[in-house]
Parts: sequence; C-alpha cells; structure tokens
Amino acid sequence: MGLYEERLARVRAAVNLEPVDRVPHLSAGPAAMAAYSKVPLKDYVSDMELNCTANIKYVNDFNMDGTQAPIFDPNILFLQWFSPIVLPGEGSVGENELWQVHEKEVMSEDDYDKILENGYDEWRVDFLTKKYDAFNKSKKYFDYYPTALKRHKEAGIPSFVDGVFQSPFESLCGARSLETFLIDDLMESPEKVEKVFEKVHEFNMKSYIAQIENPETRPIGVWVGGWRGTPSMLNTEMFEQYSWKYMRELIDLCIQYDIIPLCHLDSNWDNGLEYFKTIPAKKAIVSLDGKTDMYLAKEILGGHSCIMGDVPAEMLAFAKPEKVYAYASKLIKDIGPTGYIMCSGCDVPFNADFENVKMMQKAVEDSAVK
Amino acid sequence: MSKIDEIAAAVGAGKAKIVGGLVEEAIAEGANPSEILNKGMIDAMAVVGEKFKNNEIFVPEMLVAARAMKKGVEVLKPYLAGDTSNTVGKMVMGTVAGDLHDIGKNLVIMMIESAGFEVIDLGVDVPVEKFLEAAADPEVKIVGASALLTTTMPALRDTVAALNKADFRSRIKVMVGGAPVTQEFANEIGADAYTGDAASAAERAKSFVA
Repeated sequence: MGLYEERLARVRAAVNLEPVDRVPHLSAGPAAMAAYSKVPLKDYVSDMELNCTANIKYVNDFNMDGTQAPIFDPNILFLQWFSPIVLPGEGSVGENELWQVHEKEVMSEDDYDKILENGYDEWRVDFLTKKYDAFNKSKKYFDYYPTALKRHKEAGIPSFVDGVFQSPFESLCGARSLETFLIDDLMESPEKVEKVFEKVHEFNMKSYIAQIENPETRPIGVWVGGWRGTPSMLNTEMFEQYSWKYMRELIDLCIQYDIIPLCHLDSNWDNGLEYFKTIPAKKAIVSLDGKTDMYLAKEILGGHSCIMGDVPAEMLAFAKPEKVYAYASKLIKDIGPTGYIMCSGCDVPFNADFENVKMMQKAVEDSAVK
Repeated sequence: MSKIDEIAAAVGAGKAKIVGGLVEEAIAEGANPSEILNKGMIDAMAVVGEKFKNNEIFVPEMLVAARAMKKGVEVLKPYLAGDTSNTVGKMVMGTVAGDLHDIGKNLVIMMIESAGFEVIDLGVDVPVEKFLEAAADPEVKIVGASALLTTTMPALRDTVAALNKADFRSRIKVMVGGAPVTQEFANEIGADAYTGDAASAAERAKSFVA
C-alpha cells in the first residue's frame, strides 16, 4: 500500500469508527503553511504553484494524513460567503499580513426581488462580477486546482476538502452583513428570505451534483460549513427552518454519493450536536473549533460520527509546547482513539508556533499501536 | 397597562415601528423622560439580556429589541437634552490595530448602548495612542477592545498594557473580547474583564458602574 492509500485508509477508518493504527491528523490553515515555508503571504496568494509547494511541504514535514486545502486563494472566499476580502498588500494589510474578510452590506434589499424575478444564477453572475470581479480573481485558483490535486496525490497526500457545499444562510448573511441580515431580512421579511433561500439552494444543489458526477471533479470529501446559522445564534425554530434544513440536505447529498461531508462547525454547537445524530452513522466528520464542548460531542456522537478538532488557535499561537502536547494527548485518550481525527480548531493560525504543531503530531504518534 | 409598560413591552418584543409613537404618546401624557428611558427601555433591555443569557431568546431577537430601543431613544433624545444623569457612563470601544473586523464590536456596542451607556466607537484598526487619547476623557469609565485574529492578539496585549500604565487607570475598567480571546488571556494581559457575547458584555459593563 502506497503512502497515499495508507493515509486515505486511516482517515476512512476513523470516519467508519474502525480501529486505527494511529489517530489520523489533518492539516488546516493555509496561512500557517505559507509561514512554515517562509513564503510571504502576498506571494502565496498570487502564485498557486508556490502555494501548492508550501502546502505539500507542510503536510509531509509534519507527517499528517491529509489536507483540507491543496491550494488556497482568499479570493474564493467571496464566492462562498459573498463578503469582500482584503488581500495581503491591499489597504492597511501589509504584504506579509493575514488576509481579512471585510464584511459589509454588498447586497441590497432589492436584490432579493431580483433573485425571485430573474433567477439566482443570473443575479449571482452579475453580483459576483460587479461587486468583486470574483471569477477573474479566482481564475488562477481553479486553473491550477487539478494540478495541485495531482501533485498532492503524487506526494502521498489525500485531500478531504475539494469543494465547499454552502447553505444559503451563510452566503446571504455574508452578503447583507450580519446585523442587516438578521434584523431587516430574517426578522422582518422571513417569507421572502425563505423563497430566496429555496432558489439559491436549488441552484447550489444542481451545481454540487454536477461537480460530484463529473469524474474529473468528484471529491473524496467536501466542507459543509456552518458558522452563522448556528444553534447558538438562532432559536430552535429558526435554526431548523433557515439553516439546518439546508445543511442536512447537503450532508445527505454527500452521503448519497459516498462522499465524506466534513462538517466544519465554527462557534458553539453544543445545542446542535443532537441534529448530527439524525444523519446516517459512520459517514461524516464533525469538525469543532474550540467553542463547542468536545466532551459533550463525544457523549452525544460517540459511536455514531467521527469527531475532529479542536486544538484552539490561540493555544497554537501562544501556549508552550508541553501544554499543546498534553491537550492533544487528552483529546486522543478521551475523544478517541476510535472515531477521532486530530486537527486544530478551525485553522492553525498564521502566527502559530510550529513546535506546537509538532506536538499535535507527536501526541498522535505516541498514541500509535506499537 | 401604563404607557411606560407598553414601551417596555414593545422594546422587549423588538417592535421598532411602534416604539417612537408610544414614546411621543407617553410624553404627551406627561410622563417623565428619564423614567421612560430607564423603566421603559433600559430595564426592558436588561430583561432581554437575561433571557438571552438563559437561552430563552437568541441573537436576532436581542438585536431587534436593541434596535427598537434605539428608535425610542431617537424620539426621546430632545426631551433628555442636557440631562447627563440619563447615561450610566461613557465607554470607549474599538477593534485593535491591524484588525479590520467590526461585526462583533458593533453588536457589543448595540447592547452596551441599550444598557444606558454613551459609547464612543473608535472603529477598527485602532492604534494604541487613539485608545489612550479617548480614554483620557475624564468621563470615560470603561474601555472595550476587541481582536478577532490570533495575529492581532499581541496588539490587544499592547493596548491593555498601555492603558494599564496610564495615570488614569484607576478611573477606568478595561474589557476585552473577540473570537480567539479567552478569560485566561484576559487575565494574563491585565484586563479587568472578558466576556464571550454582547449581552454578557453589557451586563458586565453595568456591574462596573453600579
């Protein structure tokens, strides 16, 4: 068995809740990968070949089992949650400083009517082009992506996120900005918002099915993200109606096609963990970011779904390596070793101490079956 | 139900469209403007904050209530003009240098204002000097600083360190927040308080001026 197959099998075993020779470890956090290779962020985001080289080096130097981003271009963030991105070297952000989402109201209330009248696809193309020139800005990313995947495979690295399946809540909330979206839209015009959600979701589902059914783009796994439409942000009724309903359909779509839904749950999902118990067992990864109680997750989802995370970003940036080692070892012991994947909570940050990243891997290797 | 109770109910339910009219009616009936503010709005928002804390309501309901109060205050303001006893204190808020995120900060400001504070919003990417300059105002009782990135947490540390060295430090309380910030980090950098959400921030701020 080659390295690629060995790593892929290890992660699949974790998802299937089968015993593993050692707990798998997935990378997360492209900015940290650039920092590790000492590639200035401005160069990293503009040169996809350099970007891919840095990412491969990072995963293989730390002997991780896979990646969540063979390459990364912050411009693709606009395609996902419709908020402008300030890139390294732009505005007040220095050439080797982290890109930042500059959330503001880039979609007007009238746009809801336009979507309902003319369809989502027409509106989307116009919006993405006029508001951010998103297709041109992200072209280099999509052009290089097949090469990046091939290079990763040759380097023995499976990619578990080759697409982002998005619920309409997240993208429209980003486009309208949080306050406006919640107050003016969701609370004032819920029926209209829901009609728009249906249009957006219908289009997205068709696009995702097309991606899955094309042998060239069929992913091993995809990101199904939730960071605003969460059960700590919304009451139960709103969460179920405007967020979970769509997330669930995205998760079911993945499972139907035997693709791993990597449910990237930012913020506190303590009140939402039970929902994941309703999806088919041994099919998904529930990835937590340090805000959700991992022990509660284990209590509710242990024996049902694979749990991933959650070494906190601030710990990776500022804590002593001994603390990270102890934290990671405890996760393996208490949350795993079966049905658990070592990972940072959300991303390894740009200013991570790489001794700390090493400690996550050391914990994994020290817990291996001898 | 008294007019002030009606205002409180409308604020609590987030009925921004009717709060202004109710305030006008209360004034016309001879109600005391300070009482309208304190009992009809600030107390109503305290109940909202408590419900939020107890998971009885969530962020959208809290925000519509805060906006309803804001509408009411706009109508009430001319009747309160010059009466400084109607604010519980002045607070300075900003996102630290190098950090462009303002969504969380803005939510906190909405709730802090709803608790009766006057808030000076310094915006985002705020240098230490600007925090110091604003906090030097003798009326300022609390300074709030936020960071959303681990890369800007050092700027939060610098901001709090500079405030801690200022000769007016004993007059102010320093509150910090933001996604990667923890209670442990707040303790380490010498802040007086860390809160994880907007309603808790408002409650904590009130406790500092009680």
